[in-house]
Amino acid sequence: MRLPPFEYQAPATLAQVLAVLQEKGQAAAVLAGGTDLIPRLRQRLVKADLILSLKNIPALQAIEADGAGIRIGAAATLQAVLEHPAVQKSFPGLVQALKSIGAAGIQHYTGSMGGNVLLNTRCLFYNQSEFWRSGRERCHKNGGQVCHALAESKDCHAVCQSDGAAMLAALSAQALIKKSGGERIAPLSDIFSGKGDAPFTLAADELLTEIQLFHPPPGAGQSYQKLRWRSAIDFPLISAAAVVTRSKGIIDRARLVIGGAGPAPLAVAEADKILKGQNPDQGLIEQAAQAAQKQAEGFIVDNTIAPAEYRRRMVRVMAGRALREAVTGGVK
Amino acid sequence: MIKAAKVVVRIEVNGEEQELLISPHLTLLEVLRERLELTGVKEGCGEGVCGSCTVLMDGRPIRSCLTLAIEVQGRKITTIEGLAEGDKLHPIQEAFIQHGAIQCGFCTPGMILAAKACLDSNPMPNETQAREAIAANVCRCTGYAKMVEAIMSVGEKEEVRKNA
Repeated sequence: MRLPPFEYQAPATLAQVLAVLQEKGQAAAVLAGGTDLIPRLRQRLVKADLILSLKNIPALQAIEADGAGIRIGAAATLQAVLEHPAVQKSFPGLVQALKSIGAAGIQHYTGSMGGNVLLNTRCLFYNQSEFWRSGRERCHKNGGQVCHALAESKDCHAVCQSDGAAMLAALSAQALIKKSGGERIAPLSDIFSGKGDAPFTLAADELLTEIQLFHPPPGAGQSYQKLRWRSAIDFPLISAAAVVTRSKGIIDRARLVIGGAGPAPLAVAEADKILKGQNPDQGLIEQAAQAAQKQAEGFIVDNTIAPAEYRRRMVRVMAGRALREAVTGGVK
Repeated sequence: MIKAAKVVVRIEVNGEEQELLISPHLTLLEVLRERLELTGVKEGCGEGVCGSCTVLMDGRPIRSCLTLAIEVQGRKITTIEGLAEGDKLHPIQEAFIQHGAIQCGFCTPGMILAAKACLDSNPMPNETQAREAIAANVCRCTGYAKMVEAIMSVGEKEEVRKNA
């Protein structure tokens, strides 16, 4: 299937990009690496009159670190993030998550940090060719009224399968969002609406320009655990991101986020309640992992290549693995 | 239907400067195959999964089916046709033949280019590194073992030659 015809612009300044976005709104699609956008255009899942390329704006690819933290330009390639010394030093969990995306030859040199966070929600019944989809009624995500994954459902259950989003949410990242004549900073988790058919809260004239992370306190353990069939290429069937801070053995804070379950990364507040103030043993970690499963279960439906029941049960396993690694110092 | 104006794109392909008048929605894959007749670039899945369309951009492997030709303005592209020097095959091509790492051949151009990107930065990959180098490429015939052997043999051979 060939790409549909479109106009193309690659403005030289961010101000010009934002001005075009303001004028064109949803008719324009922003192109960074294209590893998600191009297949979606090809499958006619995105309709865009204009492709707005970010390639001529080096500032959007910058990665800057200082004493407080690190700022990652939304168009920085995954490889650039992975190779950055400050990222490797302070955020080994993010390196672990980004390494697991696709395979080096596909995504890492072209796919971008912002593009990964804004990876559109996916569903076995939606991410298909126009011809494949023509055999069924239009679903919620495709402008229709039915859900093929869950009969009688009034909502869309397409899944957020972004590895970066789950890990960044666990690291309490912030998003810098700009539009013509304005900007705002929001917790990264706020850019997810929780709706499968319209997964992001960004307005049509807004652009995610930067991801901001504060250095974690010394001794914070990080871990990203991903369930998938193959060790490359695949999206997560379920994933767990954990960041655990301890002082003198006692847990100050345990942040656990489940990915690949519902339309947004799922923060498990209960895990922090169970582990906070404790010197964790296997029993407590198991309890927190079970809390994660209980919370995630309701979001998981039969819409990936693995059965829903298997993914539900694996939430506990992946959460347990991530918490155990994070509690014992985390990935290095 | 949008009727976008054609644009002039300059790309260096296999060491030769190319100036092409193209529509913005053409992929690099389409331009390489249909305009430059470099049919060694294969289209498999068309979704960035299989790796048959892999080419090198400034020495790094990318998917030509996921890349708009207009986006590679001014970059250097290497396809499988750019590896041999006249009748003399590239050492990686030789190694693939010697190790029987080819059956139907459809994935081979992508495999060899992915291997080249790996070997250019790491001439002596271990087995894990060789497997990772072609992790983004799918082969439905050979089962990968012979390709991994072929990739690892290139560096070893070079080492023997240097020490001789």
